[in-house]
Amino acid sequence: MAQPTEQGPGAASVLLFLFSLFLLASPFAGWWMQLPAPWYVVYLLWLLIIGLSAWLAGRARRHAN
Amino acid sequence: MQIDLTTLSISAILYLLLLFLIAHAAEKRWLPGKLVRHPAVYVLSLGVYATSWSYYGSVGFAEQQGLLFLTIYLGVTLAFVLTPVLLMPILRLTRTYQLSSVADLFAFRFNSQPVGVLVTLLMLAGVLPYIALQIRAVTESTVVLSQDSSPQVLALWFVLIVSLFAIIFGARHVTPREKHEGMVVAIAFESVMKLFALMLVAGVAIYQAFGGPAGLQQHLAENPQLIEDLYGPAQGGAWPSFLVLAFAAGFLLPRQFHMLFTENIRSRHLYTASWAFPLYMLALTLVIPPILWSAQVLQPETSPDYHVLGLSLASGSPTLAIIAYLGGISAASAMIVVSTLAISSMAMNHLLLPLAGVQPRHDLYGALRWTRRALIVAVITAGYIFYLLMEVGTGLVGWGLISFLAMAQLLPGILGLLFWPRATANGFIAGLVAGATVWVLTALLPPLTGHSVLSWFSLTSEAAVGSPEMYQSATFWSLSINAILFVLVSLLGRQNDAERDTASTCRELTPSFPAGDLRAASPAQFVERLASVMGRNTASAEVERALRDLAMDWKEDRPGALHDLRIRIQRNLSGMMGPVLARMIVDHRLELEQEDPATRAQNVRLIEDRLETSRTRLRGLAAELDRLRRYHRQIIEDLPVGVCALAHGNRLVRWNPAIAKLTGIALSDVIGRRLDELPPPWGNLLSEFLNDSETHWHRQQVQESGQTRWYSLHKASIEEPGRDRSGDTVLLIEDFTDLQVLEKELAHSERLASIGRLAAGVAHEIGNPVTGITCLAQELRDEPDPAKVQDCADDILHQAQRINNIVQSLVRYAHGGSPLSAGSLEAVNLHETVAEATRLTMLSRRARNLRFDNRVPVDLQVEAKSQPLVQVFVNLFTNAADACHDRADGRVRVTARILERQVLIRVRDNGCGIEKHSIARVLEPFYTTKQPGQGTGLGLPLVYNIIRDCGGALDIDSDAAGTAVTLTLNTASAQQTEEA
Repeated sequence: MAQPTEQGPGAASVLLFLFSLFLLASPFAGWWMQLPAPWYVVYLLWLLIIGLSAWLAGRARRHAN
Repeated sequence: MQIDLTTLSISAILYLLLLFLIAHAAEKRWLPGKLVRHPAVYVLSLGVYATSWSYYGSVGFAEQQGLLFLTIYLGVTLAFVLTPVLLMPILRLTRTYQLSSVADLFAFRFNSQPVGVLVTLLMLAGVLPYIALQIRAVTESTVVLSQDSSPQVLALWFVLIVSLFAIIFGARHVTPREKHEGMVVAIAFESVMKLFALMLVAGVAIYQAFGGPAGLQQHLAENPQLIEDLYGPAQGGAWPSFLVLAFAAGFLLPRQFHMLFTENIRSRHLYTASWAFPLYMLALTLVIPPILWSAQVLQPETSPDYHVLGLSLASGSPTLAIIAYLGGISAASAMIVVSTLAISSMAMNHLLLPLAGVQPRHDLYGALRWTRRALIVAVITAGYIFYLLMEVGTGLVGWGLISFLAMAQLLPGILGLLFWPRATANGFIAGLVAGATVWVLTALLPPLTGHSVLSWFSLTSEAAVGSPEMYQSATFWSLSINAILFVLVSLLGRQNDAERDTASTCRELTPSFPAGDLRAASPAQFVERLASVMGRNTASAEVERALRDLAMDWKEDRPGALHDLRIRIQRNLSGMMGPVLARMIVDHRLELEQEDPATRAQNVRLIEDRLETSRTRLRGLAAELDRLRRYHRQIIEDLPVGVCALAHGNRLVRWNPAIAKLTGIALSDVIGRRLDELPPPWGNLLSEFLNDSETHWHRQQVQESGQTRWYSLHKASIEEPGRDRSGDTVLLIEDFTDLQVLEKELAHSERLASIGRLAAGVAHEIGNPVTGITCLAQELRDEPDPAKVQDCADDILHQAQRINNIVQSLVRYAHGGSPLSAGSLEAVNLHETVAEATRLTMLSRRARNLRFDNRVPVDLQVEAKSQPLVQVFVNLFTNAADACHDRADGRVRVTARILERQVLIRVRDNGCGIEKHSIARVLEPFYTTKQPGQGTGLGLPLVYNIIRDCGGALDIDSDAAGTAVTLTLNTASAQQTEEA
């Protein structure tokens, strides 16, 4: 199972995971936390990840079919 | 404002009864199936993740640690982002091998009961305080609303009702194949209730504190330190550690694992959950900061952990307060129900059954069901006792994080399970024991003792007890030591075969194949063997269930199908009593013949099945090899000749469509069977041929369904490249029936043609005696002398006998049966045969002038068939007559001499001979050197076929001096001569 069974969605999900880490658990996260941004900016970033996940899930489902 | 305890108790009990009603309605199909099985219900049921810690404690957590509270949900989102490579493979494993808990999953992968026991104990240790925390949240929330200091009675009722709910709706089935739809719908409803209550409280509080969202924005603009308080703590080092903890908790917490994998109805719902569940959590947590800021303005008289209730009280609406309270009841009850189910399943499979063993009972299902129910009560009771012992001062968040850290100890193991086939059970145990020990010392004990063990080793400061930094250090050290030991011990140790097998299974590679043949030869024998372990009724029901799953019946006896049945039974038992015990039962009761190397037959089929199902996943060289394999297989499949391959033990591994058509036996009915198990006549025929020293059988006559057919059989050993012969054999079967029938018809045509050629001679031969008889009869009419009358009568009789002899010869020739018909060879007197053929040939006008010289020894007997051999010589003599037609001194000489066990017969004429270029073709049917209309071209081919059927050979030599045909036949044996 290390070899993703749906190679497209598998690889894309790993990329999205890395992108999410970049947004949430990297020096970049420390940077945006310091910005004088609205309080809900973290929720917007979260929503972005969810949106990309939804797009990826659609692809994975089509791939599985 | 306060609400009296009775009102709260009645509300809570009525709400819990409503959950009973919802679950019951779903189970009874009162709710539409579409709704019950809708992906949204599955997604909402995952909301069990949000316990009273999330519902009540998030506000307190946010007040103390700002945005750090969000990591508990962002970490889960990260886990769900990896659905295709992390969650989906786990779902496939749990569905395929019917693994009902996280302990089952690890015990299956490492094929180790101690692994299952350890994981179960760790889960128990991590979850019991968590259950206690939920009970405490219910009682504390009751205290907050009612100001009653003794809500233990309500806590007891709460525990009793929740236990009853778990027993009724969560332990209805003993196998994970059957889902608890009622419970799932009820849990989903509770998630909606939590979200609704929190949003309602937040909305009311925002309007009450700020007059609306705009007021909130203005308040934040005027107080920028509020945003700094929110984001400030998140910039500390604990942020990544909390993300890791939540990442693990997102799918390894017993309740999450249970709802995600065990209660999953359709795998595609998981894809929906990969984004919808994080969206649910986003909605749930979006209201936490506004609630916090509202509470800071409205100043309710509650601790931050219960600001949700404080704000609802501050609104002055008892209804809102009760809704908020029921939201908390939802969070607590859902967590207790699902966690208890998961833990009870683990405790039964990995603590109770390995100790007590499976007893053969009349109703094993009932026993397992009631044992699980007893375990549910025991777990909840233990949680209640833990609640009574729990120190009141500990915050809601603290025990939640401690529990999360316990689950995170499985993180190295789950990564190894999915991605590292070299991982061993010993490595996992070493890592888990070390990690759990660090967890106990650094996370579990400090809140109880007030001292951080980490500070003993100068790993963190004394003041950090219960702080995010303490959890950060505990996470780092416990997981690091766990992972290092896991890797080191795995690398230093050796995997056993079973571990290697399950490791491959977990990576969807190629696990090893069955090591031997099954001893049980039918489903009924399966029942016999399993009955001693689980009782006859249960054994019969399990075999029946597995047969139904595989669309087989009780008469099934194909070895491959029985192997499939064995695997299916193991998987079904795994769902009922755990993978280790299931494997043990199946290995011991449905054992394989270890000495039998005949399983190549089964393995070839399994390899082919596996390759067929994995085609789309093959890449590069593997895909090329698979294309090559399919091409080679297609060659065999498309061969117009029947092909079957036999492995060790004469088991059939290949059966191409041609042989299936030829024998009328389908591929699915033969693969894996022994050759002698084939229906007649094939079993005996092929077995005899296989045991025969000859590698070819030509034109073997077979009686099949009352019809005679002819087959040629060939065989060859299969060699493995670079090795000796494998012991496997390939058999080829050619159907010659049509050709045989055609040849028969041709022979008949040739015989009729011969008779036609003889007709004129026959008329002449018969005409002479008839004329003689006529003359004698005329003489007789006027002859008075009795002596002369007697002489005339004798002459008439003699002439009549001549006619009779001619007619008899013709009749024998015409009705002598097919020259190629069945019948064993016999001793035939060669001299008489040549004489008979001579007589027949002499009837022909062309042969009148031919002189025959029969020099065959009078007593020479050859092994042949009498009448066909006459036809051989008639055809040869007729050809000689044609060749000598222009000669007045035409002659044919027939000689014979014995050479060891064979007789060389030479038929030599002095005709015109055959041209060289025609000699090679004269044995071809319809090839003739004669004028059109004078020959059929079938004479010599028929001679060749007859001689070949007699086991002999034919050779033609020709030159200008004439043609010599040499026939080689075997001499008759003494027995044949005696019988003749």
